[in-house]
Amino acid sequence: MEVDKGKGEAEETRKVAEADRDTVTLKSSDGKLFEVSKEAAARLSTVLAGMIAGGSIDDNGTDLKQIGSEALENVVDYCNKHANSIPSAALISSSISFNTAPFKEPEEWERKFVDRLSHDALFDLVEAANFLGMERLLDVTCHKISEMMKGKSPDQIREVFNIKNDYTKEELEEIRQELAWAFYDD
Amino acid sequence: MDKGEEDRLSALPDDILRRILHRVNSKEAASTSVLSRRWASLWRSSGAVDLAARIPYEILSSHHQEAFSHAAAAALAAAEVPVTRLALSVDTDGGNDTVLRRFIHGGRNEMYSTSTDEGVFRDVLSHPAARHVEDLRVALVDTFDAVRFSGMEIYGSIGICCFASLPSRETLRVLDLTRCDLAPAAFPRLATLHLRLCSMQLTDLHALLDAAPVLTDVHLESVLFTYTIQQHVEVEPPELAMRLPSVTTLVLALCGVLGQGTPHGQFDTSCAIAIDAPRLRSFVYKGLLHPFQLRSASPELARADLHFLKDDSASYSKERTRMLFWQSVQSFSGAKALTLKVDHELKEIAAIGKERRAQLLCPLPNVERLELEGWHRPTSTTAAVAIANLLHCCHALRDLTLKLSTVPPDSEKGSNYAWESLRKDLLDYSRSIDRFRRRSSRISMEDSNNGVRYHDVQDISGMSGESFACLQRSLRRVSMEFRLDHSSSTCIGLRLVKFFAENAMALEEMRIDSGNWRLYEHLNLSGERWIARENPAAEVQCEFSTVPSVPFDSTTDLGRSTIGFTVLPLQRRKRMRCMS
Repeated sequence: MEVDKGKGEAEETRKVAEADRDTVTLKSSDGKLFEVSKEAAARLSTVLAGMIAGGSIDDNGTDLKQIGSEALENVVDYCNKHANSIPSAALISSSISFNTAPFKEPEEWERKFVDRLSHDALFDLVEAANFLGMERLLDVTCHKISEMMKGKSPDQIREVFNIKNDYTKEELEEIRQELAWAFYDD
Repeated sequence: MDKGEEDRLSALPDDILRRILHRVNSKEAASTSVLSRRWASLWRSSGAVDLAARIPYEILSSHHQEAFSHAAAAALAAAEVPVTRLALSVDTDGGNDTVLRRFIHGGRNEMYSTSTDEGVFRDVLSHPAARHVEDLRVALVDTFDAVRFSGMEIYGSIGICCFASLPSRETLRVLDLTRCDLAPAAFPRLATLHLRLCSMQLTDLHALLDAAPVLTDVHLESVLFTYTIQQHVEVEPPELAMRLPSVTTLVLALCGVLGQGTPHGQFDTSCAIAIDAPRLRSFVYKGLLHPFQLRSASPELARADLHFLKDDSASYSKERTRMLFWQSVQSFSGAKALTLKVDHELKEIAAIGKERRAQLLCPLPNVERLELEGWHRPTSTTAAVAIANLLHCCHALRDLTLKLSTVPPDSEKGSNYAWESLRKDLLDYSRSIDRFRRRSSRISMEDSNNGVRYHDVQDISGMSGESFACLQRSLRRVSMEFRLDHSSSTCIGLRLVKFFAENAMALEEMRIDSGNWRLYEHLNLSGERWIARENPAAEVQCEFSTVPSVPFDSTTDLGRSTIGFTVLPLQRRKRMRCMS
């Protein structure tokens, strides 16, 4: 939630924050301020946990020069949503299928959270999560990227992610032969 | 998606790319090596081997097995770091186990013999690269399994292969097996245990659970627990006792207990279940009514979903059904949300009479949300007694959902019957719409000849005249699903609507799905009156949204058009809105 734009919601957050002092203020590379729950930040980010424990949190906004305001807004949004989420109920798989186990799989709201992001926003968020040491958010965003790769041919993957092929034809042929098992379709 | 020129993916650090590849199946991961030089060998250090084989029925040849073994060996050999995630799955659609057995065991064990080893998986599991696996998932899946094994407790051994020893005993944190039996084992770091469609010795299960101090998630679905019967020795049937000190989520669905040692075995439907899980947060049970006990208080229990199947073969007394039901419910008195689904007729669980109520009912002081799904005979109103029993128990109930049916879930009339009744509903609907359209221009607050008049709907025995704590203070929301029967004035669903409208003092919203569409033309007018009578000052507004046209002669659209009719929200003191 942005503070400096004076949105009603952000104001509300600040009032609550002033009363309880259980939030920290983070400052993006472009100077925007964001409030985040101290508990959620410490639980979800090893870097923020270290800063909170080490007392290097600035009340006027802790500088995070590597993170743009859009990505930081998503990080803060994720932390706040995480603080409020209730673990989903265990369900009997309606059809007996593989990969239904919930271990480390993103929750429904986490899927939605990353699904709405643009291509660039998703990668900005991966980088921010990596910088802040946010394991769970990295899992969720990496899961999303792996979903974007699934079922696609190498050509299609190159197109989706703008990957430039820097192999020669001969080199490619060599790899394909070496990894014939991977290109074999059953 | 942005069509930038930048390659954001390749620009990520190696360990992030490995994390992504960790989640991709091995074939796709390996084929990323042709993307660009950057990707040439990243997949080798993803730490995952994930292989799937899909075998169309009747096309299985030894070729499939060889290709799978070869890919597995190649993926494991290529691993430059210890493999921590190992996932193997085989899918088919044969409807019997021949294809899977032949795939796993080659020419051996082709038809009916018991499987005693890992078959095609042995080399994979014993590979040195797989020594540090933390997350092991093996699934043998037939598309028809969901139909073959749903709806009853498992009573035979159906594992297709058996894991005698797993390579990574010390490191394993997630174990997820489908159609694979598990020999005696102990996994000290196990956090998640999912077993589906397999069997194991009861004593082995107890040993496995006792040796897993950090287990948090247990999911046992269609697992057959066996015990040995000593010939000529009378023994008490054993107890399915589970000590789960750290478990927060437990699913126990369609599991069976079988005594072995006699020629035909002994399928034990009376086996007691005892669970000791002080940190339990979420519990799901599906199966017969067994003597059930939750041994320790579970203060964090948020929800319990219980679905009781009816055992037609057993000749239990009706008192036993009633006793076991209430005993099971009592175990979850600490839950905040309770979902009950019973395949028995609802009157079989009703505690009728003062003596029985005193004996069976117990307070459920924490239950805020209650859902009851069950059936009753169209003419019987004893179901209301069961509902009243639950209302008496739940003093703090806020949210009540009732799903009432007049057809038993295991109805022998089967799908044909459902089809006929659906078609009849559509015809009824069409006539009803006609009637509605004809008179829609003169809808008024006046009693209509077609509508149900307030005084016509009978009070409900077992509820009317009783006093319920939750109705006085806490009940905010009622959702009901029922079928409107021919005699509207005696329909139990309609009588319940009337009852809640009149007696639930804090009610804010009532949602009603009558299943067969005709309710809207009756309920709105009369429902309005019921609420209006209680709150003469209430401002009541009635809206009808456009009724969708349903192609009555077309059968292709039935799936889509079977949605029920819903009144939502029906807000006391505010307004009523009718949508379909």
